[in-house]
Amino acid sequence: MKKSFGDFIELTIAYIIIFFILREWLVPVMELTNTGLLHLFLVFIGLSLALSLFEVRPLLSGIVKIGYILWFVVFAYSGNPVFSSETMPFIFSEMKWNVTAIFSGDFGEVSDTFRTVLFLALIWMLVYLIHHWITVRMNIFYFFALTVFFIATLDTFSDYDGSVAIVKVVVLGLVMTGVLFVKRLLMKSDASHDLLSKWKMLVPMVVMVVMVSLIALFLPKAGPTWADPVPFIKSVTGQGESGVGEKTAGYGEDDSQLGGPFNGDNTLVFTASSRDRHYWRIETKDLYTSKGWVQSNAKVSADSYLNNEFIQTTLQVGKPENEQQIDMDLAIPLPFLIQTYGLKSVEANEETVYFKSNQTEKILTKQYTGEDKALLSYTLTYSEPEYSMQQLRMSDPSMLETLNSSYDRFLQLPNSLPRRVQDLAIELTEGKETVYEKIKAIEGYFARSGFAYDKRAAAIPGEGQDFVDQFLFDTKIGYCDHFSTSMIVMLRSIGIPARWVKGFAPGNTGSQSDGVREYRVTNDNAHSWVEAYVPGTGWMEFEPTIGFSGTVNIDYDLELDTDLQEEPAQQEQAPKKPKAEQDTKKATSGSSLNFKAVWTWLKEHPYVWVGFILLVVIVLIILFVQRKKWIPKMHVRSYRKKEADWSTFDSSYHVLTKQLSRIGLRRKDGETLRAFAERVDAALETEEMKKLTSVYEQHIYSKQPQDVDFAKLKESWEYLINRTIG
Amino acid sequence: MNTQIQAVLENIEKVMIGKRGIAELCVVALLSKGHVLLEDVPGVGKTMMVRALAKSFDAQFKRIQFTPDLLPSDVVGVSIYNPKTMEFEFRPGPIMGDIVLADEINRTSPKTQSALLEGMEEASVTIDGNTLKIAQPFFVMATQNPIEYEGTYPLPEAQLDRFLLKIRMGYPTKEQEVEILRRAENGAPIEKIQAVLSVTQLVELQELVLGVYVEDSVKNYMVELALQTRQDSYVYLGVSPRASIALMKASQAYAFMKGRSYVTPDDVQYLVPFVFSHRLMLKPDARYDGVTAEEIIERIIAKVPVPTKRFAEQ
Repeated sequence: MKKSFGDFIELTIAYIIIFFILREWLVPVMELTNTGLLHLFLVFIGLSLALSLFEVRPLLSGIVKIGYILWFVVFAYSGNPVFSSETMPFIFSEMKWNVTAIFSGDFGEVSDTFRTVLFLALIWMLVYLIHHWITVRMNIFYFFALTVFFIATLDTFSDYDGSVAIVKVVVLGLVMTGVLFVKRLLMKSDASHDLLSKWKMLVPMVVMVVMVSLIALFLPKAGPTWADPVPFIKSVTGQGESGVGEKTAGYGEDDSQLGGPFNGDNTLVFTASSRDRHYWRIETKDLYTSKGWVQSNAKVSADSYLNNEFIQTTLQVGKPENEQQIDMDLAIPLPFLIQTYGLKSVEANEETVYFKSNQTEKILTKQYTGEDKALLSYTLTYSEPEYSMQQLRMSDPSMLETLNSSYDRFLQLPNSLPRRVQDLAIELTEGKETVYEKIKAIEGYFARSGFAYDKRAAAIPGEGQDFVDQFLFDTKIGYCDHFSTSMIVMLRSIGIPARWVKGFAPGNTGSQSDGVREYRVTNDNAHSWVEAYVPGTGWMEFEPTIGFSGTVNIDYDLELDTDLQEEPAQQEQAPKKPKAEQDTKKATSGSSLNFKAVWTWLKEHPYVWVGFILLVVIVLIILFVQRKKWIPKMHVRSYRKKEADWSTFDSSYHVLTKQLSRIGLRRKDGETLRAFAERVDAALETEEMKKLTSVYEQHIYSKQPQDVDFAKLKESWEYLINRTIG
Repeated sequence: MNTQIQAVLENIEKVMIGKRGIAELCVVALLSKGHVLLEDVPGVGKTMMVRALAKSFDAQFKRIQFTPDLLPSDVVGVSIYNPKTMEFEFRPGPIMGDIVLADEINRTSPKTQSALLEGMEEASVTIDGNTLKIAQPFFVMATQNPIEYEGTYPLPEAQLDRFLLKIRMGYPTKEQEVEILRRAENGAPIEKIQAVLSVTQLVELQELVLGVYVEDSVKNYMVELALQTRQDSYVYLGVSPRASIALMKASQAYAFMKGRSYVTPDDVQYLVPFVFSHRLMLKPDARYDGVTAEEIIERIIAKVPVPTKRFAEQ
């Protein structure tokens, strides 16, 4: 078919659009790779497009392009005029150099000249591909979508600003897609191909695209809903770099100014080999300043211990028979111990004095001389404490009033604390009988009240603004410091002693051998949580931060009846129970409880349910969407087995009409079977439906149907069914 | 296709170009002992159609040209006194033929019209108290010119009901008209065609048509179509049960012609416009809204569900 002038004009427009889209590709690449001579590259694109537009013979077009590439290289790299005596030696020496480099496998050695040639060849290929897309497939959508993705990605992850480019690309791409769609439409329908009818369709399309783009350009736009993903991705891929004015994750001493965003840092701090999952405790703080935490100047003594000596702490220690050991292996030597709950003693290879501050609970490692000593490895002996539920249930609030004055510092609150914080705490704990229940009520408040965990979006309290108040009532977005501090302040406001604990979350689990698992703790795992005083039990850890689960081990010793025993367990502790504890529980309670354990586990992991239901729904949706594929196949299988008679034929005919209606060939009420059959045959390009229908007609309208060849009908039927699938 | 009828139709086609559908409908009416009203302007081949049909059967062809002064006796015949035998002798009128063309039926007085229509309906004429049967085949094709109204006596609806089918002839296409000229170049082609079927064979075929099976679901469908015409908001008077019968008879003949021993809804749908359209009395609203009887019927066909199961299974 000879191309008409209209086609040529159309193609020219398409190529011009493509040129501009390709330009949007090239610009950021040039910008980011510090490549100059953008205009020469653009000339090459233009040249390639023009050659393909005028359908220049491949050989000639190839020669022109190669010529341009050679000229480009000589012009850009040799610094000599092209038609000088230096040109040929330059080209040959470059060729020799690069060929040698490639054959010897030194790909890093290839020169810029060669890279430029490769890049130009790439453009050549791209133009050829686009030519194919436009003229043969008549669909440029993938290229368009890819361009948008490319520019969006560059805009997000590099310094390139694509805010103008994206508008240009979208407008050009939509116009291009529209033009090709019209072309396809006209090809499919037998509508007249004259220029006028084409323009009648094209002009409104272009006007529409331009109008929509203009409106979109001038309408007010909402800011990004997601935080900038770059810092997160960088932290995951290990390219963390601290920005100006932002904190970096990790353990630090100064907590007087909490809040504000911080960047991730996945530098390894230590590796612990342990049977259990632990919260790694370093120190506690007691004085809340309304901006952060500092140390009160209470006069509290300090104790010193030696290797393997029992270290006295304010925390509970588990039963002696549960004693376990953890091997700590530090990546960076630290002059203090990383403790676990239930710590009993420490052993290091070297002689060390463990100097424990009873004020902060921090254990410094020192030499005999008193100088700091940073240990690289040591072994912790601990016995995980078990808190008795029975005892916790007996923690009457009245017992708090009898506490001695040494607990006063854990009840300290700044005078400037807004009243509503206390009001909230009272409201949350209303009706809770025991101290433990009150604490749990506050601990669980965040998870169910629309708070969000975000390291980046956290605010810094303004002048005269309380850190906790801002988090609880204004922002509701924050990280561990926000949650833990808020919980402590609320606890203190209703008279429950609480302190702020710093350390690390359990870390990422590594390899496991013999029940001992390796926990890799990085700066990202730096964490803060809560220790509250429960009368009769002592200090206990609590975890208010969304997304974290504590390791507290509660012994549900209330009653021996298993049914009743599980009930409160789930209510109170369900989301907190670590897996390790689950396992031991299962083991001890015997096989009869296995089902219950599974059930409990499922209850605790609603996302498993959600996932399962989602999966079922997805499968059902897929089955529904694909019904026109699998239902007929099943029918074919079942009818193959059935005996060929009139009743089978009758039902199979109905199955066929139903299947046809699934693919959009539905018989209208007033349409006769024959008219329908003709329509079906026309649509499926067969003759079989008419054959089947004439037999079916005879079956239903005649007095006495004659003998028919059912085998042949079955063939027709199967053929039709398969047509509807294919 | 029934081979005998096929031969007739091919014979007619030698004369009538591009009028296969009309010829088929005429044969349908002939086979179901009905009559046809042809409505169209003069000169499109109405007479030629009937003559070709008559010639194909070797049937007696009579023609009555209706004029305002035509008397009933001119149609049915008259008794004349024969002085030789001293008796009144009956001279049969042109209606006593096998195939009768009643040209421009709306030009004559209602009295004469009703004489023809009575003969058509009863297949007998009454003269001087004597009733004479008209032998089969008896096929009347009446024509009327829808353009001229002056000096015409339009047939009342009740009398239109006597016609099984109303057909519009229509102009031929350009190519067809050229072909018509080509054939007419060397004399009239009507003179060249031969009879392909005898009158006796035709009567036999008429009997065979009665044996075509109409499944109850299809009967139900026909009645439903008739009922719908009585409920349409544009229709003043819907079709009568006589129309339902006519539809069934015509469908049987059509199915027979197509070589089938049973009627399908396709037959019915094809014939409904020809059977029903002249029997519908439309309200004046219909004329204001520009709705024709054909359009109403088309709508009804699209609306009424086609039976796709045997009546017993429904």
